[in-house]
Amino acid sequence: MIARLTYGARPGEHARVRALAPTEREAAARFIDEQLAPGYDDARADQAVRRLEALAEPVGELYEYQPALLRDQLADSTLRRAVYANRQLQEVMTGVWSDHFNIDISKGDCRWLTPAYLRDVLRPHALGSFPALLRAVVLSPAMLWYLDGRVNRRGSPGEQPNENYARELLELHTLGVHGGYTQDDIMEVARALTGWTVRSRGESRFGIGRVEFNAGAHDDGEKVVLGQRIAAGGGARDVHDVLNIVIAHPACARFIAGTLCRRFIADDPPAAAVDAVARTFATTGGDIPATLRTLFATAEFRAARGTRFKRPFHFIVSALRATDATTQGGRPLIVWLERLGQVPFQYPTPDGYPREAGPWLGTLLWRWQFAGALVAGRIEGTRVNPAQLVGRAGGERELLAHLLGRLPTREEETAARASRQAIALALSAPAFQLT
Amino acid sequence: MTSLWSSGVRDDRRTLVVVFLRGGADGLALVPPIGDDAYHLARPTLGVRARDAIRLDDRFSLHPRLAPLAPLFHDGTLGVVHAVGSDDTTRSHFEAQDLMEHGGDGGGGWLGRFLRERNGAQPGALSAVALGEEFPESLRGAPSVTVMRSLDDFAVDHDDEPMLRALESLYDADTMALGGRLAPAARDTLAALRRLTQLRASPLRPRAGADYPADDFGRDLAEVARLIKGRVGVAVATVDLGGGTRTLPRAP
Repeated sequence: MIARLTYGARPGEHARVRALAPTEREAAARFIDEQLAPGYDDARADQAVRRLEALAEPVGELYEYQPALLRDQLADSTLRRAVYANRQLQEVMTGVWSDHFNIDISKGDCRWLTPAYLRDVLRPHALGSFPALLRAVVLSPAMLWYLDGRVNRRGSPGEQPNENYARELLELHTLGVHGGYTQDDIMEVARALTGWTVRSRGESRFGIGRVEFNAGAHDDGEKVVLGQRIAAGGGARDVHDVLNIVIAHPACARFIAGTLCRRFIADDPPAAAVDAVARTFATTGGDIPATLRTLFATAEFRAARGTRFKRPFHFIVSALRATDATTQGGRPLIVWLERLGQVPFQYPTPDGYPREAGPWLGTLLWRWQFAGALVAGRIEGTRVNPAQLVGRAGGERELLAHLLGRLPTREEETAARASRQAIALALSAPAFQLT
Repeated sequence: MTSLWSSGVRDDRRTLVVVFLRGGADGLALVPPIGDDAYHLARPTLGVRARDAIRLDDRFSLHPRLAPLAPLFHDGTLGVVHAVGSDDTTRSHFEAQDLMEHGGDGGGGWLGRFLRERNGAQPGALSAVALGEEFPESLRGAPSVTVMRSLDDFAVDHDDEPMLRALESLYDADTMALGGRLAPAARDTLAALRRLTQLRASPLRPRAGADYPADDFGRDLAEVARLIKGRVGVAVATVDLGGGTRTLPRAP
């Protein structure tokens, strides 16, 4: 349970969680409570990123920094938070939403706006309410840039609005490609979103990055979205009406449930689990913690243990956590994310990094090289202490059990001895690639 | 968008080598429009003179110092895409480079998007190799990017046979993982690692008397040749030439 709600167990974590309650089952329940507890502060994670000062700047000030610096600091802080956060599930879910509401930091003003997107939009809402998260995304300067919403304005008669964001809002963010909407719905949503824009560099010297509603550019006529009428004259309220209609549509609950089940259960999750999760999503109005509780309680989730292929970011973070590495992050770690092909906020198209295992199967070479480099101390700024790890675990076999998340098989023990590098071997083994 | 490169002419054994002239180049000196009077009027002193230029067609010629390229142009190996620029008016060299390498205002580099979207490709660990120290923007967003000066930069831990054999035994035994897909992926990886080890042990023997210059650019190209001949799955290799303020070439 620990491994599957987090970016991997640290040494001693299993014992800590087991001690929460008399039975294993109750202890697991207590752990879920702990990870879903309300609140948002994570002093340990904050401490780990406190030197990445640029990322704390307000939106307008971010424009004062070099894009390359923000890009690397953002990758670095995402990584360090994942390694050090106590609120692990919050970081995991922030990652889920980063894929779901993907932004590529290399596009346009996203070069400056993406740090604020992660900080002000995704992370605060990651374990909150889906409708609030969606509203924050739709009206974020970064998303208005990334999917061209900022240039979506009422045109002269006969001219079409820019439908780019409306299409992705329905296809990727809420209903899914088979969600039962039509091209007309896309155009009506696009009309409802006209006029929302963001002050950009070059247009203005003040308030850069500020989101504004320009009533003159808004198409204020009547709209019909998914069969529901939005009366003329709604102005800036139109966007909220549209989102309410979309979120209440049954396809939305199913689509978000599917997204969560693909993360936690299988590439092609069983319908029974998706149905159960979708029901909770619908009845709670998109309450993310309640929805996750239902997911974690399904038989399908329990049965899927050890079947999900960790993606590269997950692999690297879990290796650092499992070995209790101390890390200052930085370029020496980021280059491994580049080799493994998963640097946060660098996926070019709106669909986000692939969830399924297939596209990542070619990354074993760099996983093995990373394991070797980590244990051998060849990653500058990142250190593990192999002797201490063995000592604290109480022996090599016990350490293997911690790294693999279960008692080692005879083959694994033999291979560990034969490799002469037991820790690197365990991090490279099939069992460590799975969760 | 997918039609061009999924048209069936793809060959997984071929490697695209992209050389970026970081310093910039004056297109009107490289391939001057000798047949256009406006060129001579605009460049009365700097321009390449008609009698020095190497004629390509009625309009364009090559700079005399590019004469060795003329046969390549005539047999169709060399193409010139002339007068391509951006409407970026900042005159910032870095923004212009970014725009060129991203192929417009979209996300990711043009090579990164190409590799990410390539149909049916199982992106290998060495599918994109950038020779040098810097991550080129053109590869931003690719499934895997290896920035290296040389194969010799690779760590050697996993090249030691005890480790490779231990990994082999574990992955071979795990036939069920990921619906049976993990074990074959590991076999491919082990084969690639063993090829890399061999490659490192064997110096490049250029064919046809190719003589690589002893500068960084020559070394990078020789390394690319070694990788291609080693068949380690390099789909794209990028090489940078120059940087800073170098421009190529000047009028004679």
